[in-house]
Amino acid sequence: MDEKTYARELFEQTFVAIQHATDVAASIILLRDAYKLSHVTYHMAQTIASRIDAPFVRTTYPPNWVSRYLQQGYFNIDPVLIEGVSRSLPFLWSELEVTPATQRLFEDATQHGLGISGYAIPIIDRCGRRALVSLNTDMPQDQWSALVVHYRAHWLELAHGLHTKALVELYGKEDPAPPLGRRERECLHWAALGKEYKDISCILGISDHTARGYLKSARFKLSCANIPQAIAKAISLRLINPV
Amino acid sequence: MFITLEAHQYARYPGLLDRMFKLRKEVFSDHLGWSVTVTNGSEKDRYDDLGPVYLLWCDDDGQRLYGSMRLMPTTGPTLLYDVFRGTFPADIDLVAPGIWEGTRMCVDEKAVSLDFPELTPLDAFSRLLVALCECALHHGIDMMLSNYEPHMRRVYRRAGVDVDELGRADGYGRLPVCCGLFEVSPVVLDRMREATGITDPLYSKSLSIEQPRAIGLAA
Repeated sequence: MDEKTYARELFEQTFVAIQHATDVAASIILLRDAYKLSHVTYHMAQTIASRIDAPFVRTTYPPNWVSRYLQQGYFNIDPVLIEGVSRSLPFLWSELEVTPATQRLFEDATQHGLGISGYAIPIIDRCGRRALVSLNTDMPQDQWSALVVHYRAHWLELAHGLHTKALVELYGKEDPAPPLGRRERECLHWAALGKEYKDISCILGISDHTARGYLKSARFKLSCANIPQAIAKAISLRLINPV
Repeated sequence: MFITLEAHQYARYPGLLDRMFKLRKEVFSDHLGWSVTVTNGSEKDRYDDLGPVYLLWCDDDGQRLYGSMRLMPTTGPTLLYDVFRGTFPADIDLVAPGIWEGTRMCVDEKAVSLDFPELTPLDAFSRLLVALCECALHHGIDMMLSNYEPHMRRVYRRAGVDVDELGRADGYGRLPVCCGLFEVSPVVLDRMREATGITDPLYSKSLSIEQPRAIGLAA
């Protein structure tokens, strides 16, 4: 199996596993183990839009580090968290600016046997709620950066999967999915009939990459890991009727 | 240089951002006649309150601004969806991580002609587009949704960008406003470099005074 296929399958398996997991706590363990990460944290920011009193946090960090973190008030200085909930683009921890306070935090983390490389993925949803998914590793920085570039597109989607999970856990139900547009339905319809991007773009008079964009968006809106799953779901929801 | 400013950095560069909002007023309100909200000589809307990413073209000291653009993820609230909802509700509501919207793309032609007399306004636009492509590629964005007036399609084409028009809306300005989608990839960047003749990397992420430093724990 080539690397790309392997990555694709790993993503699809993890995506489905997270969907079937009981809660966010179980999901972050699945994500951590699938990609051999050291730790995964999901953090929904305290915002007016989210209407929750306390931030919603789930993490795989060991209890002794979590209590140390809280006792020392590290949430007040942790740049990953502070910047993470106001940034929009994903970032490597190594991009963060070092201050004496953050230096102390990272030294303490090292003393607790934790890696100090990471990748943080900010999430903004349609309601304007912000969340942060933070991945931690003990890998050397350059190796980690390469891995991030390799997997980041998949990690981004999985991070959104965690967010969907958290919304269900907090509010008892998912946000209503944005409705599929006409073009998205048309692209799914032709994909269901076995057409490739190239054929679909010809039929609809749009370019290749636009057909890909519509299918990607349709797949995301339907919360599916791949196009065949999205087609099946769209048919069962009677959004398309390919015959 | 071309940099991005995110919400956690706004406070450090108030001058650049003020200038950007003024430039947007000059371009979109004064020049193009778009119905945008202008307050105290600045064009600012509710999406600017959501902490978007700004791609800025400025000098090395961050003192003079040449151009700007606003970037937002389509998973969050977006301007294009809200603006085009009335006309093409279905066709431009693309939502996925990796698909971002770019709005309020503009160039300060006066500042450019002063500091880069060799660049025509079209060249300046091309530079901003190449920088946008580099920036998107760097951050793992693979598709951009953007709005532009019909004649700008030619400018995109000239810069090697194959933009697909998804819809257009009337009544926003004197001319219709189009919404288009284009792909971002190393192949696209190569094509843009070939089309524009711009070979040196443009996007440098942040101002040099705050170059990222690795976290050192050796001590």
